[in-house]
Amino acid sequence: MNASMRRYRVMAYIVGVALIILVLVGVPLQYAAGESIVVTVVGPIHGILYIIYLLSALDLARRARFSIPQMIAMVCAGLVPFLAFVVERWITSQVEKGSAGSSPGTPRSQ
Amino acid sequence: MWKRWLTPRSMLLHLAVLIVAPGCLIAGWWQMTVALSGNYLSFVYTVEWPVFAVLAVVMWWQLINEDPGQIRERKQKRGSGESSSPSERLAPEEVTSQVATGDDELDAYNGYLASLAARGRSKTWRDPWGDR
Repeated sequence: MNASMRRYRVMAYIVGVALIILVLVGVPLQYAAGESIVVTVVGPIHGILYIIYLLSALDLARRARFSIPQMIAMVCAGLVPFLAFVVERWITSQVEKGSAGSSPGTPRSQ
Repeated sequence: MWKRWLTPRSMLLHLAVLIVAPGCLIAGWWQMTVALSGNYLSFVYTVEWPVFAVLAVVMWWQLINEDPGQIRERKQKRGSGESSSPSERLAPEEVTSQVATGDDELDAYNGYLASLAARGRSKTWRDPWGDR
């Protein structure tokens, strides 16, 4: 569970930063200055990282038995700038509180 | 057996996957037309969208095949804000108490079995890694 959680948190931060670069730097540069180099480079990188982020999020969701709203939040976090950091904190606190639920039959670590 | 496919929660999931998965495929198709018309960046998204469609289907299947008991327990927890549940099973360490038999080979084998039990449950569809 801890390793899964660490993977998710690392990916959340990476995708969050990539999306901010893409939306707040790349897109204005492309449309205001006609310079599309940032979008061309960061766009595909963000796309691929987002897939890895989704996989890590689904892995954590399965292990921690998340509810549907929690999963929707995790999916949206990679699409709306700055949301990744908010959702990451919320999910982390939920898992640490245990309200997302460790499954029966599994001894609690910590 | 088939009841879990017909609960209100499952119906919501059917609806969601019916919208999301074809939506992703359509978006992938659209990106392919963009890519073929000269915007090579779109090839990345042509691959990406079908991946999202597959992930949506995988998640839909997993959520429906979840143990109903686990869904109920999660609801209860959320309601009461409690973190421990009475239905928790014994930890593997408690189940496998080690007894020394005097036979070294047998003791070593028992120890091996106990370590396997402590490592977690066996693989299942819902828990393909078994090491949660």
